Amino acid sequence: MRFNHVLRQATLLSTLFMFTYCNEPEINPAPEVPQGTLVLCEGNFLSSNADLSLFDKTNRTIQNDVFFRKNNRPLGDVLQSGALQGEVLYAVMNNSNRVEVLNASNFGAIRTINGFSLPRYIIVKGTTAFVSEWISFSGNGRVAVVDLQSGTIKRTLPAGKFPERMHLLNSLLYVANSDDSTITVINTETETIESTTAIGPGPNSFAQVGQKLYVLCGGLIRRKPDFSIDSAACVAGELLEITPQATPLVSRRTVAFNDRFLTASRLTTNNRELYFTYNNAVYRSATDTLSAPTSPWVNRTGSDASVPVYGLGVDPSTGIVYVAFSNFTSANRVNRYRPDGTFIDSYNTSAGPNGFLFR
Amino acid sequence: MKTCHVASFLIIVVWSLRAMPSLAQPSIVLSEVEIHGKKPLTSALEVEWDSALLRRYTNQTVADLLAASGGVVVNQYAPGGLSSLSVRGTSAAHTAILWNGFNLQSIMNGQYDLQLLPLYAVDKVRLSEGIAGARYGSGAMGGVLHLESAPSWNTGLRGGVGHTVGSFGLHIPSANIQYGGAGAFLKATAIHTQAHQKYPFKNAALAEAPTLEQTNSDIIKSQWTLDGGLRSDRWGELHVWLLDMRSERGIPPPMTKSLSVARQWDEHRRMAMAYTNTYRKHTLSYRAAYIREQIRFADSLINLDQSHSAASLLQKVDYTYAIGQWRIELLSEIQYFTGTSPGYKPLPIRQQRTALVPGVLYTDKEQRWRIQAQMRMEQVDQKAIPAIPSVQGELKLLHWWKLGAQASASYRVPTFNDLYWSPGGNKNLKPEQGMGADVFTTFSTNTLPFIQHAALQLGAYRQHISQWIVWLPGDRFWSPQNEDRVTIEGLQSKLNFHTNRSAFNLHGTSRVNVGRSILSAPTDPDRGKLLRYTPTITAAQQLGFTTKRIHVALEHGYTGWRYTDRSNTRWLPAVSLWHFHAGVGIPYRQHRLDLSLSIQNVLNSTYQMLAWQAMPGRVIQLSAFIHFQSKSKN
Repeated sequence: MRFNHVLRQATLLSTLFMFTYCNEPEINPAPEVPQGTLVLCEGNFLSSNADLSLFDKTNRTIQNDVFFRKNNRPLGDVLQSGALQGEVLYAVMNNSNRVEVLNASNFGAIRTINGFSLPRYIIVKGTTAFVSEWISFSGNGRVAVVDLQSGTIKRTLPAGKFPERMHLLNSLLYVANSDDSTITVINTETETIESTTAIGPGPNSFAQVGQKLYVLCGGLIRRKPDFSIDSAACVAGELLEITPQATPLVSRRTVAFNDRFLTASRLTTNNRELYFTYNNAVYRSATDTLSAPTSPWVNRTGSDASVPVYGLGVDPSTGIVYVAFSNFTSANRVNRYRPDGTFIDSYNTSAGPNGFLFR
Repeated sequence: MKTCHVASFLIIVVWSLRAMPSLAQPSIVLSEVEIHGKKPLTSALEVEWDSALLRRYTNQTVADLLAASGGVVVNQYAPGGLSSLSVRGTSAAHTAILWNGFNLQSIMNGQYDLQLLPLYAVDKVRLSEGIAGARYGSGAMGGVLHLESAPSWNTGLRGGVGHTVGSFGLHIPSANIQYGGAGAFLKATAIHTQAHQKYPFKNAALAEAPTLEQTNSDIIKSQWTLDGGLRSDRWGELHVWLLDMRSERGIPPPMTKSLSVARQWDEHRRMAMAYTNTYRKHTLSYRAAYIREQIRFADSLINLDQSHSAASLLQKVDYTYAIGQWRIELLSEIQYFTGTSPGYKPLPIRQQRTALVPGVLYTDKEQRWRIQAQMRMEQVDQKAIPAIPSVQGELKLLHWWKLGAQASASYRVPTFNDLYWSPGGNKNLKPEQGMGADVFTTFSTNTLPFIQHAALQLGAYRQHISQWIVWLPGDRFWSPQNEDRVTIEGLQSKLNFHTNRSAFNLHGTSRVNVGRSILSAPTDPDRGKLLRYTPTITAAQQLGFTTKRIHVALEHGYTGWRYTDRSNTRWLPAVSLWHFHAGVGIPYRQHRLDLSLSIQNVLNSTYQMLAWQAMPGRVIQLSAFIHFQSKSKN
């Protein structure tokens, strides 16, 4: 054995070996898109990996990262929420401070609307959209009124602290100020504020059944300057029914939820019952007998036992409940349940599923 | 498959060597001399940049050096932005960064920003890949980066002033002065860096990938150092180092965001001393350092303005006794850490670590083989962590062929952020624990006809790290857990050669690492997936020549494609960058004027080191240095 021989053989082998490692993965082509349920996957904060998963109800298959695969670019950082208007999808990109407008059939990007500050949720009415914005992690937020034809923000309206989900009913837009105890009512015809009314601690989501409007007040968790929980200042959540009007009135409310250190969220409905998340489980309440959470309707089990419940939706056409589990660090999971609470199936999604758009 | 520049380079090297006459030809040459002596065994594959090589990077940072020629992964948010090192498929917190023997890894987050390490006051950089936990303690799991300031004995009075200008508003004035006598020396350096860094980049995160100008990426940075030393035959040798570094940087937005106004201020101060005395077969060394780091981060868009600081007091006593072929060593360490942050509750946060490391090295009389064993016993806040053993050996089979092996444990103590950040900090975290082994072989020769020296090193490594700390979302907030287990394995090669013809010196190196880091916890749904941001291949090649007055070098750095998420659904393409350096030294009496040109990313490639963080294209720097030297010493 000679040095030259060893050198030749070793280098040749390592070169061949290296060639095998030079192969990059390949991007799967953009999916054939059936009409299906859109899963909004917010991704991991600062990772710019937000995307959409598309669930085909007929074939029971799921396609992930459909925006990236179609457009070969990221949707943005933190897909907070979205709204469908016909075949147009509006995706609110929280940490990218923009709204991406997409073709909901093929996921091709149409345009980007910029100029937001920590946008959260969107309601679309005709050629106008209303986008709630936090602006910062301290002071009050606002609602941006967007002209969808020009893609510009035409005005902003002041809201309370951390304005979250909104609900449009009879030309009035109800805005949940989630770190206050108020909801702001906006007249969408005049684009002016009708009222800001105290209703309950930390309102964050709405559900409409007929002409009745239900509000989930998630509760208020208060912290001391050192960020430890200020027990005395925390307020437990409640479930409310309000009279939808320019100055809303609370017509019914549950007793306060039993744990004031937990936040309830994501109120939705199948037009008979109300569903919401609380303490990493899904709870259900009848609309005629509003009830505080006692025992979970769906709880975390198996491999999802340590993964937070992060998204909830009810398919209006079937009543099937979709529950998203998210740890943001990897592909996550959506489980489906029949209205009687029995488990149907489970699918892996893109990272951080937080909501659903049914069509 | 993309063109693999690394492979091309290697093939050229192989065929060049193939063309050379066989070693079987009789020749009258002296075999390579290796001086083992009492020198401890080092890593299987170690790379060293001495002061001559570092001249190309005089006004740049350790991040620039390693990114261009390290053959390792340097994850950069932007030029001048936060840069972290990943060695052998580990994360940024798994490589110890030693400044004159003291670990700089932040007690707050376990990392050190390589952009805050100018090379101006560094005389030697060594990158030792492989586990070194027994000797260097917490965090030395992937490797150890040594930054050393050499003593300036007998240099006389010398100094220099220089200025570098470059792309994107770069200005770097610098100056140094030193006096070195037989028994004392004093050296002072100062360097200031500023650049607006409004470089153009193609924003691939936007429709039609428009070319934009980077924003909020400016940097202003200053550092001064003072090194001193005293020595006498009777009293031994004393070194003292002082360093003060301050920087202010804009944090540029990722491509998915249009605006960032975030800024970061860093202040680092270090004071260190080392005293060594040898009496007959006894050597006693005492080293101590006070290291303070302060970080302020402000983002007016989200009303955030926070300052964090940490300080550490490190003491090491190293006693060695040489008897016959044996070398017995006893190292003791006492380290105090304290941290202050709006996120730490309750204040003050303190930690004390004490360690005792007995070790032994045996070298046979013919110096054909050596074996070294060490055992680290450490307590963190009076709680013992499992003992960290290490065994290492080398065997010289032939004058040109050497074998080596190492088996070691390693560990990493949770950082203050992991333990005390509120909310989420987990005081029940255990240290990460690793166990691994290396084997390597070295072929070297001084007998090639046109090349004075050539050496090829081949190595293989495997390491399991359990209780890997990962932040996971909990019921109310994210919290760190000892959840992950990672298996790291790979092959490495290093080829270097040089030739001298009169004043002409040709030199080249090639380093290739092919490996993988796999999530391996049995219950992990991502089991078998590759760890994010750990490419399966990294490489660096360099070819250059020097004459009495001129130096020219071409460097190539390659970072293979790597996944950017845990589920291995997104990835960054491979990065292949070429760099060019050239310089001329013009002597005038005993003084010298150095002019140099440096072009980074010669081919103006578009690339990302971290997903959707824009990096610049071609960067050009021109430097002029005037070195003066007193007549009395040379």
